[in-house]
Amino acid sequence: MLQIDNLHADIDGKDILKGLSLKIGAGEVHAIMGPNGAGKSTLAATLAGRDTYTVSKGSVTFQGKDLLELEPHERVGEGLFLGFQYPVEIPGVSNLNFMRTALNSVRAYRGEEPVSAGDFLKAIRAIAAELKMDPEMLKRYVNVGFSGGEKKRNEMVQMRILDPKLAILDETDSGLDIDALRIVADGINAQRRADTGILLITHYQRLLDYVKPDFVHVMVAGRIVKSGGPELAHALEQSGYADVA
Amino acid sequence: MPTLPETETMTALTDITAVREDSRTLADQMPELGDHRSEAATRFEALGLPTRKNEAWRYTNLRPLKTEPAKDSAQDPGLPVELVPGSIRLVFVDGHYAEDRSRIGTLPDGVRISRLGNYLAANPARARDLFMGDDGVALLNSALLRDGAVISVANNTSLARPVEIVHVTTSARRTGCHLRHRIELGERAEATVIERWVGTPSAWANTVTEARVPEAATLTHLRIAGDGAAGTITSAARVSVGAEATYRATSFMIGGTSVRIDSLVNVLGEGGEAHVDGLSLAGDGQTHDAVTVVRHQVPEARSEQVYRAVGDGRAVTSFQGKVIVDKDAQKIEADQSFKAIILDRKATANAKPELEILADDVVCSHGATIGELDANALFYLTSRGISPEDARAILIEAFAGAVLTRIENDDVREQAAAAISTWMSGHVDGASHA
Ligand SMILES: Nc1ncnc2c1ncn2[C@@H]1O[C@H](COP(=O)(O)OP(=O)(O)OP(=O)(O)O)[C@@H](O)[C@H]1O
Ligand SMILES: [Mg+2]
Repeated sequence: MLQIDNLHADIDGKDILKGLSLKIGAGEVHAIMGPNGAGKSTLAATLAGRDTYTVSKGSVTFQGKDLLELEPHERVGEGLFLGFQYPVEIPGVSNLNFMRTALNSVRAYRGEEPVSAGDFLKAIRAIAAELKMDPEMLKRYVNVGFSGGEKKRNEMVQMRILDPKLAILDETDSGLDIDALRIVADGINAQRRADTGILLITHYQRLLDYVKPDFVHVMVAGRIVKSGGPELAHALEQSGYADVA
Repeated sequence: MPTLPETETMTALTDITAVREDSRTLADQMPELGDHRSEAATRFEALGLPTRKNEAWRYTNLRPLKTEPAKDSAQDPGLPVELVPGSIRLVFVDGHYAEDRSRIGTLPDGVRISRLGNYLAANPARARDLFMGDDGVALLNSALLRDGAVISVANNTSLARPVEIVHVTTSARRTGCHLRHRIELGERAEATVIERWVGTPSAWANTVTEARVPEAATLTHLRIAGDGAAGTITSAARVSVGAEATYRATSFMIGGTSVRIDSLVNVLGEGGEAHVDGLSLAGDGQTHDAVTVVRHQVPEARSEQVYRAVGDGRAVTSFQGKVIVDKDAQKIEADQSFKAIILDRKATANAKPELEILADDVVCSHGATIGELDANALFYLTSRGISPEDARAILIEAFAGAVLTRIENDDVREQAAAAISTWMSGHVDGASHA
């Protein structure tokens, strides 16, 4: 589904990704862990197409297409989704309109008919209920005044309505209370299917207790330095990154 | 009705003979104005049009009037679709009331609408009030005034249908087209007045609107230089707000080559409220200028100004907003917010907020920011599958929404939103962003 080969990316001439390779197959859940500043969010943003990062070398293939050739919104149309570590507040734009525009944009990209306002409302309410988000929050401006945990939950609502092939979730577990973590994990597990891939970026074992990864990777200084199964996360929890770095 | 000789391509407004000639021709129109006209013409001769050295006019582009001869021949731009269905409509074509295009219908008791000419004939003593001499533009208005609307609403009377005053300018005469409107509300009266402009590219429409909003009255006042507007438009409003009265003004500058909307609002009664808002969407080559002065002369009153501006291409959009709080006007709440977004590096936004506060117990805030569209927000939207064009449109709409949400009339708000969408469809391609 996703194949990253020897990816190099920099920002303002500062190298951040330094030859990163990773392969994610359909039906797989991968977790990337690694110290602060390792470049995890940079990887996520580069995959999503943020133009502040420059790819100098390497390739990324997503479902057989050259991902780096595509504009950010086209990547979403192809089935990619990025859950932000720091979701952005957009005053003046209602959450509901935002998500409906997003869904219909993706559908238009795929040559599908737009969903009606009624059908959309039904679908989004069901998802909000599944993620135990107060439906009133759908009417508010995008992320404005949301608490840290509410913002993350809002990311999950967006993921569920867009139903991506590959979801990259950057620290979606950070800032969540214990109950919220379980709810968000349930949301991720609902997205976990034989035809979807999930890439979790996290600092904590806790999330991985709920969403059992198939593979765990350790990223240090812009590279994957170690890969293994779920036991790797447990080992890191015990001894930190000192041994792998 | 005497009409002006249609002298087509006259030279630029540097030649005072044209002004003199026009003022003489107009002498038998509203004879009550008598010597005021010639006095104003003489003073205009001495002053000329304001230049950029005049602080209040520093951002206004009057250059086309001064240097360029009128290029286009007279043409009728037609009437815009009415903003609120069923409005009272007063149409002035080149300064003359066009009865066939207007529609008044049956007015409720206590409401009178008349032409300025008829009003003056009945109240000749009022002629002196019409003389204004602050600057060349005001003086020309006094010298070459052709007509206007007088709207009066008695005490305790509410005029439910909005009054739409449409200024149509078909003539490209450099001396411009000058009108004066008066809105006289009684105590606890209510009315909505919408002024609009349509014109040809070389036209100049110069309007002064005086409004009295006495005790507990409410006036909603919209001024719209929209889609069909072209050429130079200068509009000044002079408003007095009494005790517990409310003045709600919104100006839209979307069309026009050079548009200036002035508001001078005096809050004269306790509990008086003034909301003076505006939106400018300036495209390539357009100059938009909003100038406001809100003066608080008494304590315990409130004013708010919310202005938003978007500039594309080589646009210049400016805001000069002054709040004056007199020495004894304690417990005033005055807020002013101006924000501009530049879609193109070639565009210019100017902000000049000024506070002149002589009282000590007041709460005043003002903020002015000029920036580009938020790159993080743009990326967030595109990362959800929304195209960059749509993402820009969404952000601009949200930005302009700060002004729109303050409009209480649903029809007006929806039409304004539609006008914004139309404008954006031509300005969000991002082609000029690199
Ligand atoms: N705009 C920028 N300008 C300069 N340096 C940047 C910029 N953005 C990121 N970096 C740097 O790139 C490096 C990687 O940052 P990144 O956010 O990808 O780390 P991370 O692994 O996600 O860290 P964390 O675990 O703290 O979220 C850091 O050293 C960071 O300071
Ligand atoms: Mg990060």
